[in-house]
Amino acid sequence: MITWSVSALLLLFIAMGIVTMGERLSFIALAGRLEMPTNMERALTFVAPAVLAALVIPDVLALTEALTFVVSFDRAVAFAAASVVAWRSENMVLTIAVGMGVLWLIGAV
Amino acid sequence: MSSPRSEFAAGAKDVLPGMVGLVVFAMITGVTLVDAGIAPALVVAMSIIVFAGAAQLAVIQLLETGTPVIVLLATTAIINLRLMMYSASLAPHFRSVSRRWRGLLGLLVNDFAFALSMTRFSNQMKGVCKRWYYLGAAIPVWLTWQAGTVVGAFLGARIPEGISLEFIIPLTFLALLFPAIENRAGGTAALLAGISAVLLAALPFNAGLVIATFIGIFAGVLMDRRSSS
Repeated sequence: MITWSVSALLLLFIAMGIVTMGERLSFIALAGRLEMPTNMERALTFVAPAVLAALVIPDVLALTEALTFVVSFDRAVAFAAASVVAWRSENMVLTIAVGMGVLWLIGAV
Repeated sequence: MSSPRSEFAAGAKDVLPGMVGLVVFAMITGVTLVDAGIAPALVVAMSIIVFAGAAQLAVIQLLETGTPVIVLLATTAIINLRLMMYSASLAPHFRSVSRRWRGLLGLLVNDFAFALSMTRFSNQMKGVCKRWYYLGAAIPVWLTWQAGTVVGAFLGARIPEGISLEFIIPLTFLALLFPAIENRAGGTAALLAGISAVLLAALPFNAGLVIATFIGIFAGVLMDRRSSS
């Protein structure tokens, strides 16, 4: 249980907020003044696919101490099905529907 | 010919399906924070002030084990480092925007608005249209995050245990991922980042996420150079 006082917690949150706001504003706030080298602009186009993949894959695959991939079978299948749908349709509603649907189906069988 | 208003509507429409997953995440966050001993009103305040779920959860977890404040803030910075990358990617598109607007746009930076905007923006689009598409996507995200937190924090115990409802969250990001892969180099970036993230998952403070992202970007740049040479 956390024993911090209300004011201490609020101060912590504000500090976290300042850090986070700083990161959010960083480049956008300076947009007018700094000229970004072309190389860096090109590299930045890969932030989206890289970050999203880095966020998503660990939710489905995990490495155990035995260096084998631990996969929740249900989720892996649901994820694979959803991936195909996401790839082909690029439709978010469909992707989520298929992913959850397959997960529930497998769980129910 | 698209107008600012139609772009705003497009942004809202594109982000809407993602809000299903986000509201689940927000509710889970609200419940978890209250369970950890934070008063519901404070939990809501945290979501407004910080507006970053992963960091909120991670820090509260560390708080329970008596971690020093400097580490808590460093963790926040690292987990949210991707927000700085988003800022860097979006900045060129908002170059023509006034400083005050850029303040607002910057404060709203989040995964959804970033991913959707990067997929949508082209060099032909007018600055004002980009700004409104981004806002169309970003504002619902902010609203959803706050609403979900409130529900989770105040109704916590009464939220039914979903049938693995939290699986919606990775599915949502999956749905954002594929449109963001525009060519082989992008695919390479995603693949390398994904593999690295799994291999580095054990690193503390979510450092694995950041390193994996850089590895993915690096791989994308290499593939990109190879394709164009």
